[in-house]
Amino acid sequence: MTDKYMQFLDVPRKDPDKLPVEVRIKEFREIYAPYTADAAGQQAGRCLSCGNPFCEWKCPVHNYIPNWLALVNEGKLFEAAELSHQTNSLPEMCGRICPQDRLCEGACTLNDGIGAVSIGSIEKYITDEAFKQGWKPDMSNVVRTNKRVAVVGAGPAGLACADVLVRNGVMPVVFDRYSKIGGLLTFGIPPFKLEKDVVEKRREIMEGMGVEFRLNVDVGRDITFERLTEEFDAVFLGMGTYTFVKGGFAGEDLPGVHEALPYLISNINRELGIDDASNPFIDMRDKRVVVLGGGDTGMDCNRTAIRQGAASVTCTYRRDEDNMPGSRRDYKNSKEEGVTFLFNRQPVEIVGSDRVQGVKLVETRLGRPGPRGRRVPEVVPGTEETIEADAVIIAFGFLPSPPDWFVRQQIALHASGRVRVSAAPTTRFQTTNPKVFAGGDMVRGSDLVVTAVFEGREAAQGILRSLGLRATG
Amino acid sequence: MIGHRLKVARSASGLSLRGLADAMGGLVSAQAIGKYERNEDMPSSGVLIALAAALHVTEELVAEPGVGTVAAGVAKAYADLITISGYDGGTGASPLSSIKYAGTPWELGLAETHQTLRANELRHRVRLQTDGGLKTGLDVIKAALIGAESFGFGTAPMVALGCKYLRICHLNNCATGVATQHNVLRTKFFIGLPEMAMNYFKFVAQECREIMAALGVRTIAEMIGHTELLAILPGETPKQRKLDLKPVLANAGLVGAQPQFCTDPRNEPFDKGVLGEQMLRDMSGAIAGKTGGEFSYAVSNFHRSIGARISGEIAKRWGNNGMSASPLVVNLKGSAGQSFGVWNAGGLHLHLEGEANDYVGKGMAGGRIILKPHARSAFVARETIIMGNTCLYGATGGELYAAGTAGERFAVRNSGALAVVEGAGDHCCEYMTGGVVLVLGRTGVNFGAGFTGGFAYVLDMERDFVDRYNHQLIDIHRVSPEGMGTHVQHLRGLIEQHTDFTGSVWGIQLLNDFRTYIGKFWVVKPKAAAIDSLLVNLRRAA
Repeated sequence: MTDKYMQFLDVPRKDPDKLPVEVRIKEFREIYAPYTADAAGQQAGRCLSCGNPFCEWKCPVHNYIPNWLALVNEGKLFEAAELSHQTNSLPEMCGRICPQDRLCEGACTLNDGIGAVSIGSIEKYITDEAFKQGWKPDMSNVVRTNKRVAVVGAGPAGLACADVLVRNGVMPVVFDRYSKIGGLLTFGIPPFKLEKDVVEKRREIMEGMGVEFRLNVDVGRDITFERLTEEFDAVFLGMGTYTFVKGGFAGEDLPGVHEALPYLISNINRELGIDDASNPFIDMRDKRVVVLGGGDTGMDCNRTAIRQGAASVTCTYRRDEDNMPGSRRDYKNSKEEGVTFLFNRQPVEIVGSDRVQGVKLVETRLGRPGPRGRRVPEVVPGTEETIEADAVIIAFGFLPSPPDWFVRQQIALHASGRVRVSAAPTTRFQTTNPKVFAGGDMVRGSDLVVTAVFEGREAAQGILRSLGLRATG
Repeated sequence: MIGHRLKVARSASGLSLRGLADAMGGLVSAQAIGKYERNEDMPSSGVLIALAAALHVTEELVAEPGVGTVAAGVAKAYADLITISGYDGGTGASPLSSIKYAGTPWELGLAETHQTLRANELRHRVRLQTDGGLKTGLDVIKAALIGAESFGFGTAPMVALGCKYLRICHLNNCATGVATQHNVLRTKFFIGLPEMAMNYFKFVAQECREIMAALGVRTIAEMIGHTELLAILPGETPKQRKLDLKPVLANAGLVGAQPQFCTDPRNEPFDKGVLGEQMLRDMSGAIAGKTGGEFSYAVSNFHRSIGARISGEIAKRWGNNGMSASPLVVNLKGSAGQSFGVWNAGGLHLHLEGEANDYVGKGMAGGRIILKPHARSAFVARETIIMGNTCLYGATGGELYAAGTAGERFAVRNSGALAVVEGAGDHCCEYMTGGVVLVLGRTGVNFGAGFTGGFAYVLDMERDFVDRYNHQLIDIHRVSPEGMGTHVQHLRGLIEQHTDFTGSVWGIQLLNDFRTYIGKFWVVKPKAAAIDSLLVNLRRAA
C-alpha cells in the first residue's frame, strides 16, 4: 500500500494507449484507447489536491478538477460525472480536444519534471464511462418555466447555452443549418480526434434533458430572424467564425489550392456519408501536400491528408517550433504520422501555371515583439526556395462572418466584425439588441471549444437574469 | 498616565478643578477629576469625551483593550521584540480553513500597539515587528509609517525559492520540495538558491528607496510612526466608505513627544535577581566541593525564581541530579515571588515557611520543594491556598510537598514529579504524562483532562469526585485494603513523608485514623494503563 499523499512519486504519469502509427494512418478512428477503471483511478490518485488548484484556475470553465479526480480515485463515477457537468456542458469533448498541455495539465503543479496528472484523459473517461453505465444528468430538481429561448448554432457555444438553460427550466430550441449538431465539433474536428458517435451521444442526452434541435434550418434563409425574436423570449447566437484568412500572395486562386475548412468538412461528409454539394470531396491521395499554417486547424489538415494517402505532407509555419500555436499533442502526433515541418518559413507565392506546382517560401527569423506581445517574424533576404506541391491547404485561421441582417436587428459589431456584447455582470453577453445574446467564436474571434463552452454558459446566465429567473449553475 | 495629561491640559486651559467640573455641566464632581489627575480613578469613555470637549482638546483614540494592551504588558515583561502578525499571508502552510477567518489585519494591531506603547512610554524599550502578507516595498513603507521598525516576510521569499502556494505544507508532499521532509522531493524538486531570496529582497529594498525618495525621507527611522504621510482614500464601495480609518492614523495625541522606535539596546529587566546572586555567592563553595550544606534566607514576593540560579549552577557543574547525594538545604521564610524553585535540580531542597506565588517548581527536574504555613498562622492549612496557579508545570522529576492547597492547573504537563498537596483548583493534572500526584482534599473541576501517564490519588471526602474529573482519558478506582495492598502501603508512605516534611496537621489526622480514611481515596489512572502496573512502572522509572 503506497502512501496516498506520495502517489505522484510512486506512480508515473501514464497516458492511455495509443494506436500504432501504421494502423492509425489508415483510418479515421480515434487514436487513444480509453482508460480502464483501475488506470483512471490510479492516475487520478496522483493529484496532489493542491489547496490552490492551478489547473482549475487555468481551465477556461474552471472545472473542479481536483475534486472529480478525487471522486474517480474513490471509484465514485456518477458523482464525478455530475460534478464534471456542473462546470462544463461537454466534458467528454473537452477531454478529447482541449489543448491540456497549455491549460490544466500545463498548469498542473506536477508538470515540473514529475509529470502532470493526465486530466484530459480522465475527464474523457468520466463521462464516456458514466454514459456507458447509463448515467444521465440529474434533472429531478428542475422546475419548468414557460420561457423559451432560440439558440442559433449547434456548436459548442450553442450547446453549452442550451444545457444551462434547460437545467434552469427554460426550453431551448437549437437551430443549425447542418444536418447534425456540433458545428465544428462535427464538421471541423477530424474523427481521429473526436469520433462523431460522441457528438451523437451528446445529442441523445440533451434531447433527453428537453432540448429541441431544429436542424437543416439556416436562420436568415429558411426562417427569418424576426420570427425567432417574436416567437421566443430571447435568442442566443453562437454562429462561429467562418471567413478564412487569406495569405495575400500570388497564386492563391490556382486550382489545387484549398481552404482548410471546406477541405476538412468534405472529408467528414464523406466519412459520415453525407451528400453536400457545397463541399465536394477533396482527395489528397498520392499528392504532395503543403499545409500553410501551424495552428490546430493546420494540424487537422496535416493528419487528414496523411490518412487520405497523400504522397507527402509538409507543414510550414512562419515562427519557430516553440511559438507554433497548435496543440503540442497534435504536433507530436503529426510528426509521428509522417508530416514534415518547416519552421521559420513564410509563403510568398504559390507557383504554377494552370494548377499548383509548388510553394515559394522565404526564411524568417523572430524580430521584436509586436503590439500583441508576440515576436514578429522578419524575412531573411535572399533565402527564397520553392518546394514542389500538387495541393496546398491554407490554414491561417478564421475571421468573423457576420450575416447582413445583424444591422437590421441592431446587433452592433466591433470593427473586426466580432459581435459586441455586454461585460456588465448583470447582462453578461447581451448584444446591443437587449433580447439577443451571443457567445463563442463570433464574439471572441476564433478560439478553443472550451472557451466557446464557457461563453455559451455565461450567456445563458445573462439570459436567465434578463428573463427574471434565478440561475442555479 | 491619563492623570498627568489631564493635569497638563487643564493647566493649559487655565481652569480650576471646580471650573472644569462646571464646564462639563456637572457630569462629574471636582473631586472626581482630582482623582483622575492623581491616577486614583479612570474616567469612563463618556466622561473622557466630555473632558476633552471642556478642555478643547480632541479625544484621541483610546486604543481598544486588545493587542496593544497585551503588547504593553509584554514590553513591561522585558520583551526585546514584539511581532504583530496580521491575518493576510499565512505562508501557505495551512489548509484554507486555517488561513481564512482567523485574525485581523496587521494595520489595526500595529497601529494600536504602536500607539499604546507610546502612550505608556514604552516604545523606546521594545522593537516592533509586523508580518502577515508583506510582499512589496510599499507594504514595508506602510508598516513603517504605521509604526513598525522590523518587517517579517514568509510567503513571498518562499515563492522566490520555488513555492507555488499549494497549501499542502501540512501533508509533507510538497511537490516543490519547499515544505517537506521527503528526501526525494527535497533533493530532486527543490529549485531554491539563496540568491533567489536575495534578489527578491533587493527588489523590495529598491522599491522602498524609490518610495522614500518620493516622500523625501532618508532613513526608515525617519518614517516610523509618521502616519501623517499616509492619506485615507475615499473607498470604492459603500461598505468601504463606512470604514473609519482615522484611528489607524491617529497618534494618541503624542506627536513628537515620545520616541517612535526602539532606542534602548536591550529591554533590561527591572529585577536584577539580587537575592539569587547572594545565594549563589554563599553556596558556590558547597556546590564546587559537592559538599552540600544548610542555608537560611528571608524571601519576599518580589524575589522571583528563587532557587533557579543555584539549580543552574548545580546542573552546569554536576548535571541535573549530580548533587542528589549531598543536598543543599535552603530554609526560607516569607512569601516567595513567582516561579519559586523553577527548574529545580537534584540536590537542591527548598524549605519554605510561608507561601508562594504561581509556577512553583515549573520545569522541576529533581530535588525537593517543601511548603508549609508560617508557624504562627491562625488559619486551617488544608483549607488555605499555599501556592498559586500552574505549579509543577512541565516538571520532569523531584518532589513537592505542600501543607495547603494549590491553585488552578496544578501539575499540568507533569511528566515525572511526585507531589503531595492538600487540595487543588480546577484542571488539576491536566495533560499529565508521568509522575504521581496525591491530593489530600477537594479538587476543582476537570481533573485529569488529557491525562495519559503516571497516576494520582485523590481523597474524596464529599463523595463528588466522580463529577469533578474529566472522563475522557482516565478512570478511577477505590483504594481498598483487599487486593490493593501495595497501593495502600504506597499511599500511607506518601502521607507519612508529607507529614514528616511539612508537619501537616491534616496529614497526622489522616494517619491516626487511616482505616477510616483509606476507603475515601481514589486511584486515578489513564484508561490505557492497568492498575497493577502503576507502581511497577513507577519503580522502573525511579
